[in-house]
Amino acid sequence: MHDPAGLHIRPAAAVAQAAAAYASDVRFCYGGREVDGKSVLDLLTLGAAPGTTVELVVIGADAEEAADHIARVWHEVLGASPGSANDEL
Amino acid sequence: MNKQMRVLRGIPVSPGVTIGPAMILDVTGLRIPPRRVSEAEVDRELERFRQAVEAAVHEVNRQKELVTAKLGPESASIFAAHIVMLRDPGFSNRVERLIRDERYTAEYAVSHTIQRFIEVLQQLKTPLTSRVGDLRDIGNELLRHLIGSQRQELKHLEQPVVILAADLSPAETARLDTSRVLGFATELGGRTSHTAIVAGSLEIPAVVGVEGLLAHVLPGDQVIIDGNQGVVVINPDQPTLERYERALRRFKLFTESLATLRSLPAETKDGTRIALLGNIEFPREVHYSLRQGAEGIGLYRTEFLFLERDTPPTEEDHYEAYCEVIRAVGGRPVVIRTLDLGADKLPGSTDEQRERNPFLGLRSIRLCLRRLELFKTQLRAILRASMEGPVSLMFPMVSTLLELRQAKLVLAEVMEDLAEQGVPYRRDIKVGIMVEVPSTAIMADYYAREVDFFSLGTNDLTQYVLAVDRGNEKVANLYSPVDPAVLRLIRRTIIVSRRRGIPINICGEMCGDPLYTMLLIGLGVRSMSAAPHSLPELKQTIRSVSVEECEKITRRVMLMENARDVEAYLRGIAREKLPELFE
Repeated sequence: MHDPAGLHIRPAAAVAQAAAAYASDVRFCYGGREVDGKSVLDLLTLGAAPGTTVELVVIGADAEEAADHIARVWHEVLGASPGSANDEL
Repeated sequence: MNKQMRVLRGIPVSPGVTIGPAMILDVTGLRIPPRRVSEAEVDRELERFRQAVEAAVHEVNRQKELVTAKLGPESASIFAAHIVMLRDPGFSNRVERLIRDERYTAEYAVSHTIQRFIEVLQQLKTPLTSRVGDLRDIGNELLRHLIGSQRQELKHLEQPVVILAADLSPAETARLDTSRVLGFATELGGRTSHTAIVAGSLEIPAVVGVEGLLAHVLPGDQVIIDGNQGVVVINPDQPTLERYERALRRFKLFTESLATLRSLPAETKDGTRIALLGNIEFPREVHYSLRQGAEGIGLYRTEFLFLERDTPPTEEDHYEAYCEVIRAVGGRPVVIRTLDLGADKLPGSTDEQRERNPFLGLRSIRLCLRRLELFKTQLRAILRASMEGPVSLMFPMVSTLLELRQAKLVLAEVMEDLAEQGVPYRRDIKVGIMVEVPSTAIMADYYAREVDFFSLGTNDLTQYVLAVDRGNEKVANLYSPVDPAVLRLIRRTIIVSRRRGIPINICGEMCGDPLYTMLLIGLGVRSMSAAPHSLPELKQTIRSVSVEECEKITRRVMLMENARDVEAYLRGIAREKLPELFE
């Protein structure tokens, strides 16, 4: 979680959209709470503070591919460490 | 009259005055009982919910088109978030679970789920509270479809009404039938809220942020909405009512004479032209200003770009807004003022940044010079936009020559960057300053060598010269822009600018009050920038006087010892010369 502004609606929508493309169950965990990664509202209520780490849990048939893709989208829209992949969504 | 008159204050967001019976809207206060249905009815409730979602999405899309047509595509982004939320699986799963597992009605499941999300969002320490309003909006939108539209009656109004509500969503505001809705006032909202933006485009008087509005009003009570002053009067007494009725007649008179007045120049009886410009905050105010007779935009405040958002505006955010204004004014001049805010108002600021004395603290140009990335982003956008029309750049709150030089240095750097990148801009863009800190007025002759124009900001000048915060009611009586000390500084600055041959404009609030117009002309002001709603009155005043008589009045005023004498004298003169405005 690098974006100083926190997880606001535009990045949350991008992450949720990426997650919704997969059959697997996508969860984000932070501070002892767990939310549905396919829901923008859930992501907004995660309350992850800038500079902290959020855990991504994906369970299902396409889990591996899903986890890779969602993590990449997350890094892109929330401005992860410089030099990270800058591919298209 | 047995009803108690109440005068409430809020934030004026759309000018004009109106009087009418109150209609009170309050869906937000609606209590939805936790009613359960039988097992057999569950499927029907699920279906009702899904239909309500579809209807709401449809409705939001319709609003989006409506607002896009009225205000342009950038205003419609308000609605994009609503659609994302309405279609969110996290939301629908919870609602459907409540219906299926608990057998609650669709309306209770919706209101409960929305309420839960709002509570969670409010507990977060991240700056997401602006989303709470969006959640309420979609909750209300869904409930309206489920309950059979509480606010449907708005479409079947028999007689014109004044709408009072806790809050109106931008969508609801855009939908108001302006042939039947005379004006509105709400408890919530700020100058830059989306509702305020939409209200302005409807051109009906509106006041938002009126605390305690709904506590003292009953449906049908007579209500005055004064969108010029930000005042709401409930059950006005006879004298107040008469005063406002007079104002209303005046307002009508002006609206009617507007067409004739607009084609006439702002020229004194002895043929001196006075430039009349508009002060604006939002791009959509340009059209209104021009219709009111503005010859250009003398002050374009850019603070709204920074307010009510989670992150600072991007260069494109700036650029788009500026281009919209420049296109709308169609070749007339525009003066863009760079950021004029305190550090505590910036996106992402914390309580620690709150200062004990913000008006004497880190704000405006001082803040820009500390936060160069913000400043440069804005300057780049202004420079790029300068290709689209005659734009000038103005720095606010400059208090030392060093600051001005620093700001100009940053501007030169940004120009160099643009040149290197091959991005076109006007190298000869005019650069001016607000003269609003006493030190700058006193040193005006030095500044005159280094800027292209001055703009006198009399609001801040008055507060700094007199050491009075006019928002503080305990001392507000000491605040007057015609205090002799302020007038001397104004006169001095005008004389310097005239001697040095650099243009000077005046853009404080006093400029919008026709009471002071003669005095200002007498002081040598030839360019005035004011709130667009006041321009017709100003033009009318200018056209009824001669420079000679204004100078005579000013000579008298400059001998006076205190603000009260000046005010009384000017009022007497105004009644005599402009009875239609001041009687």
